[in-house]
Amino acid sequence: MNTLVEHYLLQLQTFLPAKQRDDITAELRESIRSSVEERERELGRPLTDDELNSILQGFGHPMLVAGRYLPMQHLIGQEVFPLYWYALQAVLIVIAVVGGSLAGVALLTEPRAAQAATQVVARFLWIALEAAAIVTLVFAILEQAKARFTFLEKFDVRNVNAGIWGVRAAPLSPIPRADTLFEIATVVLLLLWWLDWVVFTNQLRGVELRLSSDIDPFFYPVLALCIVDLARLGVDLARPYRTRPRVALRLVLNIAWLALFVVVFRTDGLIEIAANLRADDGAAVLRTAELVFRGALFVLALVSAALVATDIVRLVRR
Amino acid sequence: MPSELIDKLRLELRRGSLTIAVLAQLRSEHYGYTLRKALAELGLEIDEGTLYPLLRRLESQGLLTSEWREEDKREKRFYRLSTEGRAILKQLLEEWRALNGALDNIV
Repeated sequence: MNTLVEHYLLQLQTFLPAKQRDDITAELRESIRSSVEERERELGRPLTDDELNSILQGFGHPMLVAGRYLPMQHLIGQEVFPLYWYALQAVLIVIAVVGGSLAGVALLTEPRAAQAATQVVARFLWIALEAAAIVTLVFAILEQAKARFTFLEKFDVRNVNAGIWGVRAAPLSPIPRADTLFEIATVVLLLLWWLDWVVFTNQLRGVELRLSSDIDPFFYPVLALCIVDLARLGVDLARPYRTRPRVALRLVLNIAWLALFVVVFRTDGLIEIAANLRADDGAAVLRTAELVFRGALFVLALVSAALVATDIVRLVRR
Repeated sequence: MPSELIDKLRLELRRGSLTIAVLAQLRSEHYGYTLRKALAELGLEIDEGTLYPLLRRLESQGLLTSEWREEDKREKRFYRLSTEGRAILKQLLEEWRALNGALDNIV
């Protein structure tokens, strides 16, 4: 047979699954041969290379033709895709919050602030890429295993409307899941830091700093607020709509956070020097650290105040 | 963009119809080349790159049976509708007629 056809089939074979390679090639060879013979009968002469090429082009690029024989035509199908998409969003939001917080800390405390913050951002971009690849791989495996998410099929709208802990209330508006995930990531990070399970850098210009014992009275209030807030956010995730009782609960919590930030802001001597590695301008460094800490508290208080105002508007508005 | 969109929509529209056409045409035995010719003569053009993988998929789903046989001194793979394929085709045709009727009423 013509060498052009054999070249085409040879290329096709390089993409075909080994088990079916010979069988598929034999069938396509026969089909090409029939097409060529028919065209030659019509023209009454052998085909030129151009004419043969045109017939082969009609069959399609070898890679595309071979691709259609693959048992797997897509990585993640339309049934699994929504779950994959929300899982990916959740993972990336958590990484963004953690990375953003660490970059912020680096910006405020490291001697070469911009360089340190850029390094943190670059590291977290790689982490985000790796996480996205892992999530994609997991869902591709689930797709191939033809996993069925029965909880999606068993969806019953009466459950959503059944109320929470016996409290039934009319929904006011939806809560975007991305907002809830962002809040959960932030509170979890705060909680881990508060419990000393995650340690940010505590050195500023060679001076090692720590929170003084004056912070101790705030330990349990912050812990309690974090836990209650996480429980509330968990409910938001399961039932993503606002109701008056839930807006009222968030209002109370945000007032508590606001009060806490104000009280902490007004407390002196919350940071102390643990070790002065350079033994020089310790007092100046302490003043800077206090200033940064108070600045952060001021911003947090402003955010809490804004949330309190938003919740009041939501409750007052009909 | 509009021509790309119409191509995409046409592809979606054809995808299911091609399966029905191939199954219906294989109520009598064909090999790939004659099947393609028969469909084209009846007004349905289908390129080889689409037809042959579709035949394999339908066979792996149990809707077609196939065998290599010599004809005109050449080995060819002949396809035919299986018993299961016949039952599925009947259901698909009912579905298609209902859909067609509904669409006629709508447009």
